[in-house]
Amino acid sequence: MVNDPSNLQRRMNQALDQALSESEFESLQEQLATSRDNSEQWQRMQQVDQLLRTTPLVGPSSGFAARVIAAIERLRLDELADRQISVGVALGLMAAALLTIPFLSVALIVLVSTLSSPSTVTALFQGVTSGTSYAIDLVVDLIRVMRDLATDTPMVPALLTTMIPLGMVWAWLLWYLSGRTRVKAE
Amino acid sequence: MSEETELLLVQRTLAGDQQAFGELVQRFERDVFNLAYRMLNERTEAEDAAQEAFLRAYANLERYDTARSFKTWILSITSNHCIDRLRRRRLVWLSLEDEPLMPHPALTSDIPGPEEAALTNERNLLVQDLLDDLNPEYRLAVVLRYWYDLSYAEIAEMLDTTESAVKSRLFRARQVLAEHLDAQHASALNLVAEGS
Repeated sequence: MVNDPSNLQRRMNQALDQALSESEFESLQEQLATSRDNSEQWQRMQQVDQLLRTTPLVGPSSGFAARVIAAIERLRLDELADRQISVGVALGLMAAALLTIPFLSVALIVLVSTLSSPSTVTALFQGVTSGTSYAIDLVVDLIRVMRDLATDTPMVPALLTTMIPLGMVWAWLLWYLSGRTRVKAE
Repeated sequence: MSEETELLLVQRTLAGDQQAFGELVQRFERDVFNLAYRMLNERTEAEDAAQEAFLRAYANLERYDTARSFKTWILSITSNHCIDRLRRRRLVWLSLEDEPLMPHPALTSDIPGPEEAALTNERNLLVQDLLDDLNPEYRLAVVLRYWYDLSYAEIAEMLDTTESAVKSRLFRARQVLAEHLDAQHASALNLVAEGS
């Protein structure tokens, strides 16, 4: 168990922390003396330990504390500004609410009075129904006209469906060619 | 300055006395900056991190448990912040792997300031090189143990872990550091190993 490498490492670590008794430390040294590798590792661990123990603290550049206080001051001013903005927004919302309430009240009263009168509701319903039937008749008429046109003069829709895309192609070609000649001239 | 005075400074700060916090900053600036510098290995970033740690402490001063030492508390804030920065730095490195970032001109200046000149001694460079070989959690355990002389229990409390975990990290860290220590460097620095 004593010769177990992990146990040896653990005891070296304890020795660096001065957590070994005198007899334990002597036993460690005796064991280290029997192996060159372990002895070298122990030496390097001691060197690292000494290096770290003797390296002093590093301080910040001068004026660091003043810069921290200035940053805190800026933070406080920003918070104050944010708070002022929040108060402003809250007051604005309150004012808007106060101004809107009369308009909303009038609209609500009109709506309630309209809906509570049966004759007004009937008139509204009739208006919506007649408007809808008029729109449906219009669409039906349009479909009928189109159908008659296609049956009586089949050339017209054929010409329309051919000429429109062809016209678009010609228009694009002219635009493209005129653009190319402009670029060449430049 | 005693613990009681620290407590008084905290109480004065909470009562709105900003100057009292200034005194706390002056008292702990070296400890906080050193921790940030050892962790981040970059002076400008360490100053930013130290400043951020103090700002966080100021913003959360009401949550400070007066039963704890102020130093331990501020070091705990600093260490958490540094770990966060190292994580973010790793993410940036990963995302910019194919596009190397040009360093800021101020950081590439050949003329060192007085503080930089004091820092660029061989010992400090060696220590920072060695610390850089450790992962952040091991590095933190080493820094807290060696520069602040904190017990395993205190480190465990700060890092929100167990004493055995801290012992294990320090144990592994010492092994890595010993493996990486160049024998020539050690002799150049007059590091004579003596029996404890």
